[in-house]
Amino acid sequence: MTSILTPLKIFDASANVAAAREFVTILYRYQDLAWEMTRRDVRDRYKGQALGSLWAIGHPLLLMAVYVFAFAFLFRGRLSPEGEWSEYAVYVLAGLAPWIALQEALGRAPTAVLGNANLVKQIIFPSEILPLKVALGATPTLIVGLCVTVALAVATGVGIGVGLLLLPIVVASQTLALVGLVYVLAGIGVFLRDIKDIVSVLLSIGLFLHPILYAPGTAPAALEAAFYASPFSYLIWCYRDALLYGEITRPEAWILAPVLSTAIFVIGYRCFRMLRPMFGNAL
Amino acid sequence: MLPNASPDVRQRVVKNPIISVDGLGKNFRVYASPRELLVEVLTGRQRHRDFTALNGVSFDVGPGEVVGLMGRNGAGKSTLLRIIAGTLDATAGSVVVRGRISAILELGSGFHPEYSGRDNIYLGGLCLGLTRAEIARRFDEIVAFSELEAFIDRPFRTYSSGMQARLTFSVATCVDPDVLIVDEALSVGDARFQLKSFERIRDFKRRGKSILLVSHSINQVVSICDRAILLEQGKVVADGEPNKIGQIYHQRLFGPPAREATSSSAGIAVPETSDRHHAYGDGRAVINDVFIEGPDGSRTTSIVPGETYRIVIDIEAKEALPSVCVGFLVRSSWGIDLYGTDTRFVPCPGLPQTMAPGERLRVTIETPFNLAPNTYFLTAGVANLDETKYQMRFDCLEFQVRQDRTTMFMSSLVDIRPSMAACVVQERERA
Repeated sequence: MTSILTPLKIFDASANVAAAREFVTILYRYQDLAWEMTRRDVRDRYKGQALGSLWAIGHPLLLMAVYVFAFAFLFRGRLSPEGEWSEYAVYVLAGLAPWIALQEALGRAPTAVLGNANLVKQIIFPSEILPLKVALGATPTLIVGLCVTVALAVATGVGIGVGLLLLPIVVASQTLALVGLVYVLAGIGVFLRDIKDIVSVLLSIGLFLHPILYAPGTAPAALEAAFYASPFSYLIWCYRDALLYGEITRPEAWILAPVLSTAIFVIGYRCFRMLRPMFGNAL
Repeated sequence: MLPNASPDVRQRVVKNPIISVDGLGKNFRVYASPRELLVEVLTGRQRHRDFTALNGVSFDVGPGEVVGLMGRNGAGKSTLLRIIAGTLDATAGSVVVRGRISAILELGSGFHPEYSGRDNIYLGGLCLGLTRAEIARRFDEIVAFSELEAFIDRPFRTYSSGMQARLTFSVATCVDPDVLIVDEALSVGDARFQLKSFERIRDFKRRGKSILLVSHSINQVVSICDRAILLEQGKVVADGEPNKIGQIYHQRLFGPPAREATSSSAGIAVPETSDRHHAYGDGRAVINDVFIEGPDGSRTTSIVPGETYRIVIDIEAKEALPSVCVGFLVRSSWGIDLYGTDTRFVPCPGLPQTMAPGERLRVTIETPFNLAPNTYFLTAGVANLDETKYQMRFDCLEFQVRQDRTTMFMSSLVDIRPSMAACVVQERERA
């Protein structure tokens, strides 16, 4: 027996296109179900808690407040020696807001299918919907984060510009990448429950391995080089262009972010599709 | 129906099958620990044991066929249903299903316990591929069928298991599937709902849909299925007329597998009066003769209700018997049990505690046979008190109940001998 990962030829263009088309077909057929489950996912996540859905806003808000306070005030981070704290805060938030959304989605990804064993096992259920709802369920967090960033930029006079028009491209790219990553993790999570802990550790480290908290030029050279290895770095640079600089300062990021995100999405979905027939054995 | 109802593992020929199962096999990989799986994936070296749940299962189901799957726990019934439903992959062979499938694989499955019945109808319908608008259109019908109007906004977890079954069945059948798969879900509802479900299943059948159901109740299978398939250790051991398959299943459940060879051939001296006759047992005692004695003392198979008849069972011990229990069962031609009892429940003066080899015993049962005019079958059995059967002779005697004039509906099964009275109620004068 060969390793089960061999049949996935990731550069096979026709297979990739076919997978993407299949995904669109499923999404179209079950659009009501996908929407309903995502809606309930967001609504029910804090069900039974005293403040209820307020946590959907409160949780990312508090996290961002803590990081901004720590890095802008305790560590006195500034973009330039004479820069304002608010400028640095917007800079950090532009990377942090998408990161928190990613953290939320990926943290729940390994159990997306595993936690719904009764659905997958016992009824004829489109299991593709489960990771999708987890990925899309992080959208409110992303929106809250982006709104806070924009609000802070406007309130403190850092200002917001035409770059905002580019934001939809970045958000769409991030969503695609998230969906793909969640698919991979959800698929593997069914068989290897350890993946949950691995992901949680990687997410904690990941915050420091991406250009999120470091002002330009302050990260060690080795780390600067490492940034280029992660597709998520390009997304963050795009977010910064859109939210802070108001112009395309890194054209390579604007090309690579959508391309890599699409690739992650298609390959992630194909991994999931390959593992899906075996779910019944492991659940 | 098959002209020759003999149980057979040969595949039946079905025209335009809706479900085609061909050489289906399923091995589960059993890993000693999750780590073994990781090692196997990374190194490509086999680290698992195979457990065979299904092996070479083949059958076709045609339109309008209601097929019952029987078999002991672990025989592979649920695995088979799950593969046909598509929630599990097969290791070998193929399954082709032409049309939309709806399945009730486990009670309340796919339903969220915290959501209300209303929300669950929507979610369940969406899972089955309906749109919100389609569900909204069928919503009232689903609720009406489940008879849960008063509870529809309460959380699903507060429902009794019967209520959960009702809602599950209502949702699963509302999509008008071409194939309906039901795993034991029908046994939970109350009798009234069971009747309604059977009616719906018959309606499906009339419209040419195929139904596949698992049940442990032989009676249920016999009364609603056209055909039964018996699974044992992942293989089809019998496929055919439900009554016959039910008997084989009963034999496999209670008969000793080691001495199976003695069944049917164990010294049956009497001419078989019924071609449905089927015997099994370990042969430590045999039933030499079963007959009915009329009021005049002569043998008869034609019963006029109201007279007193005696069922006579002649038994011979072939070995020393540690205990003796004699029973009988009257079944309709459909195979429905109408009445059955044995000497544990009804006192039988003169019944010995034990029997020596060669000893003979005659048991007589007096009864007026209050049955509706029809054909019936008598089953007789002699067993040890620990439930091992010395010999069971299913449907070994066929008899008719006659009546000269019609006193009841043709569909009646028993004659409860009612007496009726009426009086005209005077209408009260209006003030």
